[in-house]
Amino acid sequence: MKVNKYIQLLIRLIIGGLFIYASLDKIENPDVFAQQINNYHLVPFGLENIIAIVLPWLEFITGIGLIVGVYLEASALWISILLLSFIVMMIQAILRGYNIECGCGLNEGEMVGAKKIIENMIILGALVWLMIQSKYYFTIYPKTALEA
Amino acid sequence: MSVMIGVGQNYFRNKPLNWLAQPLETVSDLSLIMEPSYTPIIKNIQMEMAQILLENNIPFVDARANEYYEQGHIPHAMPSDDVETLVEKLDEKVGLFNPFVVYCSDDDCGSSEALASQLQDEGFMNILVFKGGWKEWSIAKLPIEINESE
Repeated sequence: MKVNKYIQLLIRLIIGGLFIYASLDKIENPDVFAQQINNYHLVPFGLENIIAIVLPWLEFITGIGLIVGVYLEASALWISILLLSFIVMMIQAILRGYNIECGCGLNEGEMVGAKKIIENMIILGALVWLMIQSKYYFTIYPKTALEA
Repeated sequence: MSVMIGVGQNYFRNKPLNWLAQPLETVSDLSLIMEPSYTPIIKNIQMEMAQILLENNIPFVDARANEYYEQGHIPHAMPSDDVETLVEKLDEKVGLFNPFVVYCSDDDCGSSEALASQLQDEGFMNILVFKGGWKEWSIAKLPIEINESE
């Protein structure tokens, strides 16, 4: 399945690239990211700071993992969990009437809204498709049984 | 791995982020506010103090998106859509050590604190955040200005 092989690779490159790009500004400015997390009014006890310190690196590392094919399934699963959390956070913010920046790290000043939720759902859908594949291509470690 | 790298990177940063966020301290003493600050501070002010500061010609910065700024803002407030221009204007008007006020939509918006933090990184030492923001100001029917950003 040659087409499937290249679709997998394309999805990995796009989503991995997006996550790496999104993480860079957050890694550089964790204080701004902490404030953006705080705007959602979901995180208690001032924990937004520790999240702002750790989460961008999780995005960066899983983005790399997805692109180069290291722990591919785990990277895809972590990104899916992150996306699902972002979707839930944005939905609750909309329901509570908050007009806040999403803190997504892609475009500065981008606000929470239906458009962002749909974008995240599309990316999540692509990852779910990737994870249910019986065979992965272009992986470095671990090699899948079929590929080894 | 992310935890180790994140914690390590924060430890070695020039300005490490506290592990836990602290709420902004509210300041209500005008004489303290008007004094120049030579250490970086971001403090919260209430609406009464915001009014007094406006009467004392302390500059205000509107941290909301430009479309909201153009629909109405606190008199003489500067827009923040172009941070570089804002930094130049603030430097010219107040310098690095004198106070100015940043506000956004209301106490839920948070972009005032984010902008304050960004301006602190630019070297501004004495930043006040008016948490009640535009909502509290307009509900109280205080003077407003409607014009396009310069």
